[in-house]
Amino acid sequence: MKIITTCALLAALPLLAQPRSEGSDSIRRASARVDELIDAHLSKSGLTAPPAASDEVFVRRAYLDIIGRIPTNREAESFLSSRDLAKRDALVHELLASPGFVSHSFNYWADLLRIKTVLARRTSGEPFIHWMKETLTENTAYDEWVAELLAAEGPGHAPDNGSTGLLLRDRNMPEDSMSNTVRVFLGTRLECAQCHDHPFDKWTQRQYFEMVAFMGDVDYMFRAEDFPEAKHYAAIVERKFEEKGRQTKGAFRKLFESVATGVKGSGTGLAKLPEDYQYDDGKPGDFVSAKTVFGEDPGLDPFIPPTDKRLRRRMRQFMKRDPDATKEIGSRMAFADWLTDEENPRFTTVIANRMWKRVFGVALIEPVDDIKDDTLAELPTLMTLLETLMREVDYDLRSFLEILYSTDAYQRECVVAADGYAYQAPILRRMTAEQCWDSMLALVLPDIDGTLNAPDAIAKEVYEEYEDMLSMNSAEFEEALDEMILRYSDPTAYREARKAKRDREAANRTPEMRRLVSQLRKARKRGDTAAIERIVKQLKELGVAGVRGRERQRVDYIGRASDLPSPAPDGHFLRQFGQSNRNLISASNDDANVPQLLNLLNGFIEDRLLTQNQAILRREMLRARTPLKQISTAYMAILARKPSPSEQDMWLRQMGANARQGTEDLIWTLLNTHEFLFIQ
Amino acid sequence: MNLKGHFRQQDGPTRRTFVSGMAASLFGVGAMPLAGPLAAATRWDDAIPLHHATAKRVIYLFLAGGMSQLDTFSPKPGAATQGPTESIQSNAEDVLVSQHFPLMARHMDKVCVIESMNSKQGAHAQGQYHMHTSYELRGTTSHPSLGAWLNYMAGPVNETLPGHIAINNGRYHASGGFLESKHMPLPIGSAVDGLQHSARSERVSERSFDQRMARLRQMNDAFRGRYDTKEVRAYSDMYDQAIALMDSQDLDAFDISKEPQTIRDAYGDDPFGQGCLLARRLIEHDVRFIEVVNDGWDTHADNFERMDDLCPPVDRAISALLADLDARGLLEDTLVVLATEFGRSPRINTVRTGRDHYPKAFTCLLAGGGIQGGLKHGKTDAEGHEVIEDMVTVEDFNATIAYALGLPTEHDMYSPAGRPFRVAHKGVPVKALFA
Repeated sequence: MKIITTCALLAALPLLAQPRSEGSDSIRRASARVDELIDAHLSKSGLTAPPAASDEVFVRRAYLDIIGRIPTNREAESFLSSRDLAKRDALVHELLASPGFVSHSFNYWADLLRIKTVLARRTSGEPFIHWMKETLTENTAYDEWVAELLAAEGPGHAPDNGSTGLLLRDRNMPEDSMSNTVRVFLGTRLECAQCHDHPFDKWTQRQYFEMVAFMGDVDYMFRAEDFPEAKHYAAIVERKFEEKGRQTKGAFRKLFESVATGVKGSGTGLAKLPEDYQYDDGKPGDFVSAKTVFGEDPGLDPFIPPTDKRLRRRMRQFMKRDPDATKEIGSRMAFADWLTDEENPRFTTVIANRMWKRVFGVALIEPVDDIKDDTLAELPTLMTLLETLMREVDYDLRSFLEILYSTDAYQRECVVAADGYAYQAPILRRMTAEQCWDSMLALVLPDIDGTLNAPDAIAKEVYEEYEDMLSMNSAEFEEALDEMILRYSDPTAYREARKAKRDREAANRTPEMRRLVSQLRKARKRGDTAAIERIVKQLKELGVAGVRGRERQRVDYIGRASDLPSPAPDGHFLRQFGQSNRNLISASNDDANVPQLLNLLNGFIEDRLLTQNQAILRREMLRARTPLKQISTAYMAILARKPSPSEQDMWLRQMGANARQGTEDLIWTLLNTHEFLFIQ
Repeated sequence: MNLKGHFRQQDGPTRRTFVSGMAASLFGVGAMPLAGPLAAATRWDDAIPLHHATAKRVIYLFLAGGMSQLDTFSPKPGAATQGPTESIQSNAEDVLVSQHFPLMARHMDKVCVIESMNSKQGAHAQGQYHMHTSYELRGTTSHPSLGAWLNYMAGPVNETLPGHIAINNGRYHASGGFLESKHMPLPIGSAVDGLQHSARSERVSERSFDQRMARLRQMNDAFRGRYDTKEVRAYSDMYDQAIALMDSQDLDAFDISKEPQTIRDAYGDDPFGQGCLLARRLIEHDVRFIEVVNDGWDTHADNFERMDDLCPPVDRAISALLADLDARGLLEDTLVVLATEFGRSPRINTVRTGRDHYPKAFTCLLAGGGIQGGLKHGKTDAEGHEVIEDMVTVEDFNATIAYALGLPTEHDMYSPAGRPFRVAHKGVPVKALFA
């Protein structure tokens, strides 16, 4: 069951309507194997397992861990009131199949893979985002999608070619690209060996460059001649060059930038030792051939350009060949195969270990990405079992996670991480920035998961631009080129021409368009992002140019974390709560700081919840009518539990004094509690 | 406490685990006791004492895009490369400034002009990163910028306010790098708006706010009773700190509306001017490092016309800042830096009457904080193409700033992954600049 279609299961929410698939038995058996090992370990260590978590704790934990937000009032109630004995397993299964799982997993991978909205100058990350979300939606096997990332080739902005994103993330830095790849997928640190033999591990600098050699001569730029569709552009550029001179080439490059970025070349299997190479096993500038640091070497046989002067001359004269023109031998694909092979000694360990950490909060091997030959997991038998299970589910991460979420161990009361922790239960964790933001939104937006974007929602625009650039007829291309040349040669005239064009367009607007433009101006003024989005979309459909929706860049924009720019802008709630800036692998953090608390005390809750009549929680509170019902509504919506009798008394007294103030105090207080921010 | 050793023990975890291993705080109490570098200074590593500092704090002004040296602080009157920009004599004998800096011309006696800046980074992102961190932009690690190093090594002076603040920030590279998240700059998007969410909502009376807090503490105490972990305690403490800040006199530091209108006008009614004014207020409250960004200097086209727009706000703001700091006696131990990622080509791009990126020879300024004023350091050839005397690399420049702050420039510090780094990479301080 590699591909779970989300639509059918989406329709099945709210929960518990869907019968379990036949896979459920094998999941349960696998979970039992994990529990057996943990329980055996506990009794051997003289420890007792914590009791099973209450349904209240479990439902909140499951929603947060699997789909990245707290359950809504209705979702929590529906789970708590169900009498189905298998309701926990059913909830896990259905959450894993819902779009919320894709959103939450996207946030996880965006942190690890450093997925950015803008990868580099003129290199959009939207295709990468699209690819990642689609891969998660289709639940492509992990080994398959990793291989796809590493072997990706083609223009980065071409439709459905977002798998080039990871390599474009380290554009023009094949060494860093290799280091990051090996760290993320093999849990191994090679980067120290880039400049010298590794001081804390066994890798030599030569070995490092042998690994870099798999990337051999990867090129990140496409040229006009690479596109058959753009053949007729060449003659026009030549003619303009004759007429207008040097500016033409620059203007064309600029014009062509959106299609030129990409990954090219299957790999020559060669790298050069750096100019300051100082070890005895090679000279600076020597070619080294691709060779893996561990596991079975693919045994590539790269073509090494000759260094002998006579030989080089002869090649030029008689063979008419450039002696330095290296030959592509598919080394990148060979590398992708080696890295993702079941037999690779670290590939399976790393992903099984990472997924365990994602579920329980502490990995069996910590840190997860500095594995050495003598590294031993805390519980080696469990590590081995997890690797076996990963192979058994064929790297289907959704099934693998389902096994872990279905264990008794996961469903117990959480423990506090401390010495002697024995993997008996998940640890207490602070919500990630994304979990916290999305949970807040669950109290603001109705149909919270219904607001999630389609995977390609924004990438579509990038694809359109790409296709437009490659589908111009000669006249259109000439006009575009002229405009760009003008921009270079006479910026003032260019600006005036653009303005005149805009004015002409404005003059030709229909009353309908004019009405929308005026509405847009007003919406922008009052910061109504939902209205702005809607109007911009309508204007675009009417063909009004120049109304780009930059609303997503605003700090106060309301949208799911996985749909916001990645990373969110500086100063955004998400960044305050530790969202990664996406520059380093797993750079997110869960530290407490003052700006985030100021935002909770005086910002988001006041501005977006308590003063907004359309906020879903406000509406539910109004509907609840009696103070008693209002109290239980707020507790269920925010903490997924009923109030204790003493809590209830406290709030009843408060609301008796001033009903409106009392409900606001209640919501504000519950959202500021540690109980809200931490996942038990 | 030996933090170098601490780093070592951390051998290789991700930043997340590294960070959570230390006291978590953005404002105030960190892993280290609090003191300035001027005090006996061994708190971050017993083995490496901080040396005598001439400056306690930094106002770091960053002109993003690449400031044209010939049209600002290093004019070459009569040279073919000068173009239409004229120069004026400043109040320092050796120093000419361009016609666009009439106000600064009266303050150059406080300023050291480094005319021999040199970098190898000719692209914006790389250049800005290099200027801020002294290292090359890499995909595998992220280096701390000077503000982060300063706060990490010397600790904050004011315990209530953050030690590292970036005003008008955007995509620039002031960053905490691999250091704890509390060393990341606190971004202030707009000087006029100040610190977001620091005031109680108008809808909530002081009394009901206090009531809310009382009930919140009750619930949080109960939670902490069940889960007494470092992370949970950090949140309880942080609530106390946030409330302390809301009630603190120091909060005023962020409120430039408290300044008389004459002062606000003197700095200029624009984001950069008001940013400089906010920086001065923060300096008065002993914030260690404040960066103020001014964007738009990428003058590939219409370079000379653009100077008419770009220079006046900068001229007004910096001259007001220097005069103001001087009058308040703050310039002595406050280092004012004017930096940019690279200069612009002496050769005028005639087609677009612009200047292109030029890292080979450009100009930056230092003032106050022990730096000699009225000084011109380094020399370029008659047309400004090449450095011919006293080259100062970006790393040397940062080492000089670090030196002024008393930070050691020759000691390796270890990142969480165990890799050695230095405050200014291989930079050597230019000691000749100090008075």
